[in-house]
Amino acid sequence: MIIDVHCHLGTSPGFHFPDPSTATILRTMDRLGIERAIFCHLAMLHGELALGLRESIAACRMAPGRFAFYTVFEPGRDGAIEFVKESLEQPGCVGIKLHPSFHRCAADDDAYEPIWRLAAERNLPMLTHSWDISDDNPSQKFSFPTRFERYISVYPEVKLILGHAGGRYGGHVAAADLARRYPNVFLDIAGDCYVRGLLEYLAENAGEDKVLFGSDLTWIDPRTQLGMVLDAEIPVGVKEKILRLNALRIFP
Amino acid sequence: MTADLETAIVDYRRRRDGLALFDANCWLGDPLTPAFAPTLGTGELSARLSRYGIKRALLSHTTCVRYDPAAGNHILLEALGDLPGFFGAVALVPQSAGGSPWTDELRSLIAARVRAVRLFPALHRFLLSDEPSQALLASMQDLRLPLILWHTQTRWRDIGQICSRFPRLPVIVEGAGKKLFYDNRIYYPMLQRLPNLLLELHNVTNYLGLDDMVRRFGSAHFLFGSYFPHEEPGSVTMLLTHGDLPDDDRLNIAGRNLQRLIDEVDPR
Repeated sequence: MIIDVHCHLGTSPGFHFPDPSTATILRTMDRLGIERAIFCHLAMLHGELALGLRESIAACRMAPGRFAFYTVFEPGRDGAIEFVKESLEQPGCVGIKLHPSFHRCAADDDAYEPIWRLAAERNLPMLTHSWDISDDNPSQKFSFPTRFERYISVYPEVKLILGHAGGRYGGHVAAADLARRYPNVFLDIAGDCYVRGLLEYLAENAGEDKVLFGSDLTWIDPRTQLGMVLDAEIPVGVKEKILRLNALRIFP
Repeated sequence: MTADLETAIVDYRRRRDGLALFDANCWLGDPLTPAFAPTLGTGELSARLSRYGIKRALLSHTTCVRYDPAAGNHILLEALGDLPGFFGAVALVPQSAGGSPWTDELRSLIAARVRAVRLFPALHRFLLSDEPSQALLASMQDLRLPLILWHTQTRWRDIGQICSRFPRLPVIVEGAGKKLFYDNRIYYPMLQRLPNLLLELHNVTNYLGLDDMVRRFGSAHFLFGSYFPHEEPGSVTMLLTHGDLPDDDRLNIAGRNLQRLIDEVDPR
């Protein structure tokens, strides 16, 4: 059975989502053996915090034990930290999501200090978007893995998952380096990150205990990451860690 | 879980190997983007692809993109001699013919097992709409020699115009470097009205995207492609092995559609 530590509910405005319904997602999970999905509602990432929270709670009620969710900290927004605290009162809210690129606020900005402090006080894991420098999308520079080191080093008790393991080649290398040097840094393989040899590289350079299964559903199809894992030239025991056991250390 | 996982791996491989995958997007040469795995020589390619259940492929050479199309094509054609069962997709620059008809050159390429032509309008800085490009496309249509375009190299409007103007020319669109599915609100209506428009799938990995498109438009528009050795074939493969698709559609996408295109080249 698999734990997906990085997926979504909801949609984004820029393209057509064939069927993002919670019921269909549950069917997908059943077909692929995904026992638990920890999602961040896209409405929250797009600034519709109340709508996203409402739908997150509804999904967790619909399928208890199958879903849990990250709330979103939006730096610079009035009431951002209060919204996170309110979310954490809700059953199913198990962590905090950061997205420096969406929020156009670099990961090492002072604005993140309150959320790292809160995560440390409450022993909460955080998932963040991380990516490589991109000509197509300049705001990806805000999420380059090394930018997180400021807070990773100050808050060693906060487990941070670098989503997409850095996104593209340069980001993957930087993310693996951080995960190797800091016990509190983990990497997930969510997104369209299919570069050949990635899993073998991450398992060797970040460590086989540091790599987590993530899909990025409802954007990306979880079959794509699962196919990569099943095909990877790593021992079955390491695949098992990636698909489930490593996640259990963060989300018991 | 280990036993369950081993069973899942065996099941995946069994389903995959039953598809006889025919890869529409495979490359020789040094990679176009940085990679964690070593570059493969011609001698290793077939064995490596076989490990992923890929039996045959349509090959291009990265020198065509990194440096010069003619130099890359030359290396590709030599390599095809060592790769029975594989076919070539050369890169051409329409303006290089110097006014000569393309048909003879295309026929000689077909004789050397070339079965598709790639054009890179942005990289090689030419217009698909100008006379030399239109002349090449007309010759390709006469020979049913498919055209392959990256969506990052042109505009969807130009792709649509080519499909309409050359209705017997198969036009295969690939996503390279940028998610193809971001444009699905543009290409869905095109798939509805343009039977000669095809999508290669390695970059069409949005959630339930393939299943949705096959239900709407049928399977004839879609080709399995991996972009190997840049990317891991398993990502797109599992969309087929575990897709919500009729078996016939699964087999069409896995290889029959590409085989049909190849069989239709040069109908004399």
